[in-house]
Amino acid sequence: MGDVDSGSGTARGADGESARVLLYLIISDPSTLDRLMTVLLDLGIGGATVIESKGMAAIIREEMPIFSGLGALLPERTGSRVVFSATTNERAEQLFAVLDDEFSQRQRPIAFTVPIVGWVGLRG
Amino acid sequence: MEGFLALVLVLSVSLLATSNTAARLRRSRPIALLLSGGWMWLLMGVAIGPAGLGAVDQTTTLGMTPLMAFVLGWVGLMIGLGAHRSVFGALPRAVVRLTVLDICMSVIVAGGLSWLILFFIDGRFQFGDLTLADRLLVVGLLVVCAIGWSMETRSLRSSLDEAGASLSLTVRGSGGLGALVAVGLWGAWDLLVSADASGNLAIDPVHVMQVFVAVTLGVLLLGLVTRSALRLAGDASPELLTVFLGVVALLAGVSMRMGVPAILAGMLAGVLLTNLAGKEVRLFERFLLQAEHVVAVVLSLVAGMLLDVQIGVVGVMLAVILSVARLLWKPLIVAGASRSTGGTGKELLRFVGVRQSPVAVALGVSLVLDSSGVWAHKVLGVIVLTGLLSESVPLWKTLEKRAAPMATTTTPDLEISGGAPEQAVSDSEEVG
Amino acid sequence: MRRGYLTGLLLALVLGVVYVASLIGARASVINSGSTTASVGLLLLGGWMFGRIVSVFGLPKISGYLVFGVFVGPGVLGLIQKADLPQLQLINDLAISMIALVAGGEIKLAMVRRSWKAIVSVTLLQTVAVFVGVGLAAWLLLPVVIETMPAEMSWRVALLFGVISAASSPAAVVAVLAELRAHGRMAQLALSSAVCKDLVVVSMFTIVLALVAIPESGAGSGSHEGLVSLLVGELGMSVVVGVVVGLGLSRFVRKLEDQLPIIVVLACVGIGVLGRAAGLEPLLVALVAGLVMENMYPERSDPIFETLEELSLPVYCVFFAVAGAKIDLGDLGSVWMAAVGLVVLRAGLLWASVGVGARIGGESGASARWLWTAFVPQAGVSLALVSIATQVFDTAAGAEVFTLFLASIAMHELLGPILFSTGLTRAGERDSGMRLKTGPDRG
Repeated sequence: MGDVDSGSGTARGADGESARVLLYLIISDPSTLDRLMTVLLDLGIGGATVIESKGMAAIIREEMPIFSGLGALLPERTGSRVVFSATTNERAEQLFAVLDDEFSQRQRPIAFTVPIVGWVGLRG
Repeated sequence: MEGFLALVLVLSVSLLATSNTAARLRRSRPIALLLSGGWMWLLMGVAIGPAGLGAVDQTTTLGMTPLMAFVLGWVGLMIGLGAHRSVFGALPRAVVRLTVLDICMSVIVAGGLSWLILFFIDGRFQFGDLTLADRLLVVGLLVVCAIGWSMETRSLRSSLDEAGASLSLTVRGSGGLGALVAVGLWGAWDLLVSADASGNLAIDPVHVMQVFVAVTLGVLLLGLVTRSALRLAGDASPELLTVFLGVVALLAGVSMRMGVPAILAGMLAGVLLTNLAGKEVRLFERFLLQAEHVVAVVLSLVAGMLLDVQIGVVGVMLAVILSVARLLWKPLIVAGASRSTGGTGKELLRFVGVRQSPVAVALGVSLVLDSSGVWAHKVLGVIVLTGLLSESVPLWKTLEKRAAPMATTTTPDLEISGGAPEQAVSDSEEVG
Repeated sequence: MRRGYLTGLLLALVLGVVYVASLIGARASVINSGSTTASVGLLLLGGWMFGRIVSVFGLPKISGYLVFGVFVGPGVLGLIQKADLPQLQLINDLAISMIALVAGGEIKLAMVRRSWKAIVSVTLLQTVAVFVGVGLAAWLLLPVVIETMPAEMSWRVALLFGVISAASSPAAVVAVLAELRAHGRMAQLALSSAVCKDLVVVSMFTIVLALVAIPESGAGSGSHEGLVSLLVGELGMSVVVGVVVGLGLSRFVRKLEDQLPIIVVLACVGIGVLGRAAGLEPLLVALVAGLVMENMYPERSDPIFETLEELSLPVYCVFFAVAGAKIDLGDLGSVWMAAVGLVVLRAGLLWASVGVGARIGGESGASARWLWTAFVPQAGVSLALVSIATQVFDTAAGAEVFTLFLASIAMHELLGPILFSTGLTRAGERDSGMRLKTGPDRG
C-alpha cells in the first residue's frame, strides 16, 4: 500500500519542481475524514475534491436485503469517501509516511498516486 | 466431537456463501430468488440434520440453541436498525398504507385459516398434545409470519426503469416496516399467551407489562452501556470486536433469561442504537449489517437442522392453504400500491409480495428456543414449507421470463429521503 | 483513573442487568438456552471491562479476566451457572488452537537455532527440578497433611503431584506477552521454553500415569511399549498434520483474504476436530502450523496473524474468565496453607533451576534473572492433567488430593500472570513491540 512507483518521481516539471501526481484516498470510515483533512492541510495538500461513494460489497449486499431492507433505504450514513487531489510527489510521500505512522490500521485509508502527464487549470 | 463437526459444517457453508463465487452466482435472478430467502441453506440444513442424513444428530442440534439465541439477537438488531426517526417522517404514504393493509389481511386471512384448521378441523393432530395456550401461540406465530415479504426485488425486476424502481422501493419499505411490526407483535403475543402449571391458559397483563418495562429499561441501559463501552474501546479493533460480540450475546441471553424473545430485545436495542448519535455507534451498525449474509446463512442452516419434517397431513394442509392465500391476496395489495405510486406494476414485481419474509424463519426458530415442546419444531417445519411453496410461483415466472430477450437500461435508484441519487448497478440480463 | 471509574460503573450496570434478569427468569420459571448465551456475553463484556479496571493498577488484564470469572462464577455471585461451564468447552478448545497458532507464529527458527542450548537447558532443568522437588515434598508431607491417605497411595500421588506441578501455561505466556507487547530476549525464550516444556510434561505425564495406574481404576493402564509407540505416533502425526495445515493456510490465504476471520476460526475449530477424531494433540498441531507459516511464508502469513490478533481478545476474555469461573474458593479455604506451601516451593525451584539453566545456555542479565516468572502461571493444561489423574484415586483421600491440586493451580492461575508481568517489566521488555504491527517496519 502506498509505495509510489519510483519511475513517476524522476520526471521534473518545467520549473524544476517535483512531478505532479494525482493522489487518491479511499476512506471506508467516514469519521476519519475530519482528521485526514487536517493532515492534508498541514502538509500543504489543498484543493482536494471529496466525493461520497459506496463500496461494491455494500451495493451487492443491499441488492439482496434479507433482514435490513428498511435500513438500506436510509440516507447513507456509513458509506465511504473518495478524496483526490493533484499534488507533488514529495507531498504525497510525506502523506504516506504520516498515514503509516499516525493512523491505526482500521482508520488508515487506501492511498495511491498516479502520474499526471499533462494538465490545464491547476494552480500552485 | 459432534458439536465441533456441526460448527465446522456451519462455518464451511458460511465461507462458501460469502465467497466471490457465490456473489457472482447471485447475479443470476433465479439463484438470487432462491438464495434471498435462504432456502438453499435451509434445505442443506434439513439434509445434514437429524431429519436427513443425520450427519448432525438431535442432541448436537439442540446444543446449538445458544448459537441460535445469539443469531436471533443479531437479526433483531438488524431489523431494528432500520427504524431511524427520519425514516418514519419520510416514508411515503403508499408504504404505510400497504403495510397496514398487509397486516390487517394477515390477521384476517392467515389468522382465520390457521384458527379454523387448528381449532375446528383437527383439534389433535400429529403436532402432539397442544394445549389451548400452545394453539393460540401457533396461530399468533402464523399470523406474524404472514406479515410482510421478502425485501429482495432485483431478481424480479426485468429492467431498472423508473416505475419498477419506485415500486421496488415501496415494496422494500413496506417489507421492512412489516418486519418491525411482525417482531413486535410476536414478542407481545409470546409474553401474553402463557399457561399455568396445569396447562391452562393464563393471560396475565400485569406480568406482561412488568416484563415489558423491565426489558425496555434493560435495553435502554444496555444501549447506553454499549455507547460508553465503544468509546472506551476507541480505535482498537480487538476491543471493538469484544464489545460488539459481548453486547449481542448479553442482549440475547439476558432477554431469554427473562422469558422475552431474543429477536424482540434485539429489535428494541436496534431501534435505540440507530437513533443514538456517535461515530462509535455507526461503527457498530456497520459491523452488524456487514455480517447480514453470514448471519442469514447460519440461521437458515441451523433452522433446517432444527425443524421437524414430519408435520403430518394437517401441517401440510396449513402450509398449502397459507401459501395459496398469499398467492391470492399479496399480488392484489401490491398491485394496488403500484397504481398509487404511478407505476404500471411490472409483471413480475407484483409477485414479490407472495414470497415469505426470511424473518418468518427467525420467528419460527424463536418459538423453538422458547418452547420445550417437540411441536415447536413441527411448527417451524410448517413455516419453512409455506415459504418454499410461496417461492415456487415467482421462481416459475422468473424462469419463464428468462426465455424472452430483455432490453437493458440503467436508471438511478432513488432514496426516499431525497438524497443524491446513487450510481445504479448496471443490470445485464443473462441469456439462455 | 477517571476511565477506571467509568468502566467500573458500566460493569456494575451490566452485572445489575444480568442479576435482575436472572431474578425475573427464576420467578417466571423460565428454562431455555438463554443462560449460556448470557454467560458468554457477561464473560466477554464484563471480563473485558474488569481487565481494563485491573490494568489501571498495573496488573495484567488476564488476571482481571480470571478474577472476574471467579467473581461471577458459581462460587461467588453465581451469575454463571455450573451447568453452563461444559457448554463453553467449545470456546476453550477454540482458544487453545488460536493461542497455539499465535505461539507458533512467535517462534522464529533462526532464534531457536541460536538459542537452542538455553531453551533445552531451561526446559529440562526446570522440569526435572520441579518434578523431583515437589514430588519428594509431596511424598514426605502429604501423609501428614492428608491423614486418610493410605501408604501405598503416597508414592503414586507424589509422582503425579510432581509432574502436574511441572506443567505451565503457554496460553498465559502468550496472553501476557500480547498484552504487554513484549518481544525481547526474555519474551522469545519464555515462549519457546514454555511450549517445549508443555510437550515434555504431557509426555512425562502419560508415562507417569502408566506407572501409577491402579488396574481397577481403568485409568492409565496399558503396556509400556504400547504407550511409547502411541506417544511417538501421536506426537509424530500431530507434527505432520501441523505442517500440512500450515502449508495449506499459507497457500490459500491470498485467495481467501476477504474471508480470513471465518477461515481462521474454521482452521482452529478444524484442528480441534482432528484432535478429537484422530487422537492428535491439537496444541501441537496448531503450534507447528503457526511455526511453518511464520518461518516459511512470513509475508504471506501476515494477514492470518493479524486476523488472529483481532480475534484473540474476545477468545482470551472468555477462555480465562471460564478458567476463573471453574475455581471454587471453597477448595482454597480448606487447604490454603498446604497450597501456599506448594506455591512457594514451586516458585523457589523454578527460580533456582531456570537461573542455572539460563546460565548454562549462555544467557545473562535481567532477562535471565526474571525468566523464571514465565513458568509460574498454570491453567488449562494443568487442569486437564488433574482431571485425568483423579480418575486414578476414587477414594476420600483422592478427593482431598484433588482439592489440593485445584487449590494450587488456582493460586498459580491468579498470581502467575501478575508475577510474569512484573518480570517482563523488570527485564525492560514491556512495550518492546509485538510482531503483529503493520506500518513502517513492513516497508
